[in-house]
Amino acid sequence: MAGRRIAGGPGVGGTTGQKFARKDVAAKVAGLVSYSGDTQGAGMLHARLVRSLYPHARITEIAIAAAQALPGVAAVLTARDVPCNVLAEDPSGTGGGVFTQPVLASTEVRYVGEPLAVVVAASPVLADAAAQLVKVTYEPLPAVFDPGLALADDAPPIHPGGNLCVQWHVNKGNVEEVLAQAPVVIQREYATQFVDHAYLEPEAGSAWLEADGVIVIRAATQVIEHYRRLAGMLNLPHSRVRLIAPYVGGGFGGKEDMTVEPYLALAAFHTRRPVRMVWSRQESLQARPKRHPMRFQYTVAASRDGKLEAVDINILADAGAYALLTPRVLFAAAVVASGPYRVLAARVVARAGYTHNVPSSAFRGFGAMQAAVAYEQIMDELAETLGMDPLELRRKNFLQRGDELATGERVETAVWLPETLNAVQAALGPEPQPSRPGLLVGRGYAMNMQPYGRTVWFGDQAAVWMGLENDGSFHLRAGVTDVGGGQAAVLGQIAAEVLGVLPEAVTVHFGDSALTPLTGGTFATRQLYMSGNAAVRAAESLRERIQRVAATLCGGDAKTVVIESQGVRTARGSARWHEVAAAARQAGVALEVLETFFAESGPGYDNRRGTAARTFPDFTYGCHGCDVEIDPETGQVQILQYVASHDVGRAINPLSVEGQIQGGVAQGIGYALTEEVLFHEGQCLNGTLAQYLIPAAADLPPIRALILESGEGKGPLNARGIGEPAISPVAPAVANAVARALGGARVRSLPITGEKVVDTLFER
Amino acid sequence: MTETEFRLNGRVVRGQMADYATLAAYLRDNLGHFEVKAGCGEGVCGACTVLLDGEPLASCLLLARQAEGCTVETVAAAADGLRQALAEAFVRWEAAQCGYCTPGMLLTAYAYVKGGGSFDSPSIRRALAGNLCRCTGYQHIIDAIAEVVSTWPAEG
Amino acid sequence: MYPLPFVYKKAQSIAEAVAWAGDDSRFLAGGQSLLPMLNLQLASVGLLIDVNAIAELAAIGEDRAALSVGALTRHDTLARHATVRRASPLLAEAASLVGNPRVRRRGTLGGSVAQADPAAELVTALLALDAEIDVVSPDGRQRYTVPSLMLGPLLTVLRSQELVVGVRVPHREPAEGQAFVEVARREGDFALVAVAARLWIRSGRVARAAIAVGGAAEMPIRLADLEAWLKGQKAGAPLWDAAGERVSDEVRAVGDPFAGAAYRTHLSRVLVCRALAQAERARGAS
Repeated sequence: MAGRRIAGGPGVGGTTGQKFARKDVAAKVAGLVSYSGDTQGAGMLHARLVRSLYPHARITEIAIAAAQALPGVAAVLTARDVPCNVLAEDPSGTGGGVFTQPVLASTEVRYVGEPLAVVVAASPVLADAAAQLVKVTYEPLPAVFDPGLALADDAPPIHPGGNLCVQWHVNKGNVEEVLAQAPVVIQREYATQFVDHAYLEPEAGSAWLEADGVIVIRAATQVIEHYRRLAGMLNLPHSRVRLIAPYVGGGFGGKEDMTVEPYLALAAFHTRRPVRMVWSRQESLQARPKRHPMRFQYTVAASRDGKLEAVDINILADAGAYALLTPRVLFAAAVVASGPYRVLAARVVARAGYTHNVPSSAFRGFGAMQAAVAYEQIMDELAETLGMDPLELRRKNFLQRGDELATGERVETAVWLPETLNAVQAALGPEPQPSRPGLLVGRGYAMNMQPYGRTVWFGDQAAVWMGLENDGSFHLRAGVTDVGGGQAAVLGQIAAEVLGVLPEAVTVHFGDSALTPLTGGTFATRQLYMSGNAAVRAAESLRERIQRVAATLCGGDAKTVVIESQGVRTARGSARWHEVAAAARQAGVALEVLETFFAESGPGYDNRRGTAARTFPDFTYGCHGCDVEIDPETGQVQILQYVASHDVGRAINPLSVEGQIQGGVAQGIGYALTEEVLFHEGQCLNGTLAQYLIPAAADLPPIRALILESGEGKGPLNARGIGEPAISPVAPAVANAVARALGGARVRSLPITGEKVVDTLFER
Repeated sequence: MTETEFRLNGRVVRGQMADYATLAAYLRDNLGHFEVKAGCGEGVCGACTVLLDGEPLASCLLLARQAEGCTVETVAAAADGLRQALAEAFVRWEAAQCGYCTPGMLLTAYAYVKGGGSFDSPSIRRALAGNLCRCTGYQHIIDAIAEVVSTWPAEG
Repeated sequence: MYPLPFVYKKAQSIAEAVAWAGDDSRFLAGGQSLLPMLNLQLASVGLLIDVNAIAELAAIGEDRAALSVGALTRHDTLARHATVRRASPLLAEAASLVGNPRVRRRGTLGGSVAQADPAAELVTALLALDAEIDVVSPDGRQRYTVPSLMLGPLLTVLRSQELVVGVRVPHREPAEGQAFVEVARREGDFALVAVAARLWIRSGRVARAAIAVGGAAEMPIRLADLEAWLKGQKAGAPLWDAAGERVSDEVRAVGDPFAGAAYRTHLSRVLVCRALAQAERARGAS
């Protein structure tokens, strides 16, 4: 079932807003795309990691002699082989905390699966065998797996600075005072779980040394800018490391932190030969960062007629063993914790504690998604307490343009909450009916606001280069990584739109830290916003040059020059492309441009006061709704239909937007119902795709995407980001539908398994 | 190592194959057929799906030597009309995002339509149950397949 | 991902397969359970003996007493085969619930029996069907039942030289109704709990019942006490409800990370009740 466009954009022609088949899709369908693990050359070595078996232990010895002695083993690398064995980062960007992590642990391990050594051998089988021969001697140490316990006074220290990874505050008004006087106050707790990105392409890549000494890493990554960190690790000038990202087989945040890159770089650096590394699914599920499990305590006060008065929110997240992007994730959760609603007073304390679990880090939705699980469920619970319709309660409190968020910043752009809600309500149609007696049905909704773009104090920027060939074809060079959302193709489409040429005329070269201008990574739903705006600027700048040359060539006003497939035309005459190129050369005008887009920037966050003039550049708003049917005897939940609507500002490629929304919904349904990476004392209990259940086609309902266009985004052509917004409201929409079906009994922890449904009904 | 022979995409492949090499590993690491994707190694994700004598099969759950005398087809095989129609529908519907599941998905869809599969969405969903996709939510994939089923002339 | 190295041999006959077998060998049938374990290096083997070419292992036939199904019969064949559907609809239904279409086209009945997964649909079905399992070894032919074969989760009495060659299942009788129901976490997964039921009703009363529960405990179990209790009672919804209430007396459910023991006991109760009701309805249907 296709999504439907509800409102048209400004309609400037070209392919924008049209269903337009992406070029990369054709190549992918034909099996022609070479992914990061799709390399096998003569003489290529194979690298494998030796990982910690313990969640917390002192390492007394790593014996590598036996592995080194195995014929066919090229190298066994440990911490002493890493020129600079510290990766350091200030993830919040506020200068507040610099966190460090070893590339290879040498004295202490802090989670099961932490890398200890890299084995490099002539074949994968030999690398496996050699890895078995590396003998690590551990002295197990006390470990802690719960962030609450980790923050207690008697907890074993995980890092020298203590076990509190980050603590954010958001403050507005006097919460105590409002709570004391509010006529209705409810308190609820919600919990979310570890989940895995489970992209189909494993973490993979290869690396080699060029003749000029440049180390090249070709890997599945969302961030080619990691080349600087790799150079730092190797004590090399930044310019001597090059990171290439071919089409990535799914990222979702899981390839935002480095995965194989440092180990490949080390292996190539030491062996001076091409090396390949591919992680197994078990390694991935056990040891690659997960979505943060969070616990929410919400206290919400309202008037009897349903006006929100105050929210008092405590968030506790499990950071795992290392910080990675935890400070940023928690910040996003804190900023949107009160949801897309007006509140007089708000107090949010968001903390993350270190544990000896696998680190948590970026995952599509990035903290804001976990917060939606809480704020959208408590809206339904508040409505129930008030005896109000939950949608009426929401409508009464919807955020509007000009309102102040809990952080104190003002909302400047369109807030299409009523519009998206209306669209979903209409599309869902009549209330669901049970398919047979004994089954329960319910309908649930969730609204959301999800930031796109990085927080303003990062001073984010992206650059795009464009050039014209004398046959009328265009190059667009941009360092974007394409994780499957069409991040590269859309730039060509945008540029073509601005230039007034067919998208086929623009070839996009992407994802190479040495040869394409840097755009910043594909994360935070920033790529369309940042690179898209840079592409608009580059195309405008190139168009202006072409028009200037054409006007001198053909006569007439430069502004009236029309660009066509064969060349240019004015009211007075026309010229073919090679003539334009020649004229430009003669006039000393380069038909190539490099343009950089600088995002709105601003001062850092005032965490003491809990306020900011601005946090994120903008938000995307939306509404999801679904019908569920539940077998109360077995607890099994089936989703009957699902409708998702977002104001995307402007849909540049509606097919891609639909795809993003449908995919986000599917991933969100997994989060809501079946997915949880289970750990027992740090050991993963379901480390295969047979046991970690991502939704298959047969598990999902028809998903309808309703695309609304307010024309008010801060992205190119007024688009808003949609990558992350699509997943965030899913779990609360499902949870609210389930609670409806169960007559108000509510499962307050994800995933909503049959077992929990039965238990919840039984408790009632 | 044992000499083994099978037909791959219309050509005869003969070579020394390690007894323990799966067909997926052999196709990728020895023959460079990287259109066969490796996703899980346990036959669950379906990314490595090939057609063995016309039937979709997880090539990670077959030893290369077991393919002796068989016909193996990957998505790179010369496409007949139906395969072509499916490929075009996949592109039209943007039924691929990251594309990693796509070769396996397309071959499963091909066998489904060729086997007389129906255009109704529950049947298509069941047929695709062994091919996981993490990007699309399957909707455009199902839309594309349904479109081909309802327009493709039934065989025989 | 590569398995730890092993030698592969393809047997052309049962005699050849068992003659080659030794302490460090395994038989390879559909490979849908064994190859994942080898690929993930959760198991290793010295010699893998491929039995897929042995035509006599794939035969389906019947005599007056029973349906005989060759060990190489694929789940998909089992689910669709007209003779199986008539003679043992329970077995066909169980086969249709195994895995995904790709697994069903490749996986075999004999492989499922030898793998002995406690939640395997087919093992649970065979237990309810009082099936006989034929095994060949260099010492000759042996006949087992599910209880005499299975020792525990993924554990049987079979030695590595013993090859499951076929299964004999009694014909469904005219007065007999059969049902197979399950709850899985996701369509096509191993069951959290599966129940296979057979019910003979004469003159409105239960003449005989056979009930097997898979997935709940460490092995599929027969509810012998409940079967005995049902005998002679008036068939109908109240009886099935009452039967469900007694299930927890016999099912010693075991929890795992995916579902706790109490939930599995609960599901056993619900599914036994449903299976009996469905078996009652299925009586006489063919």
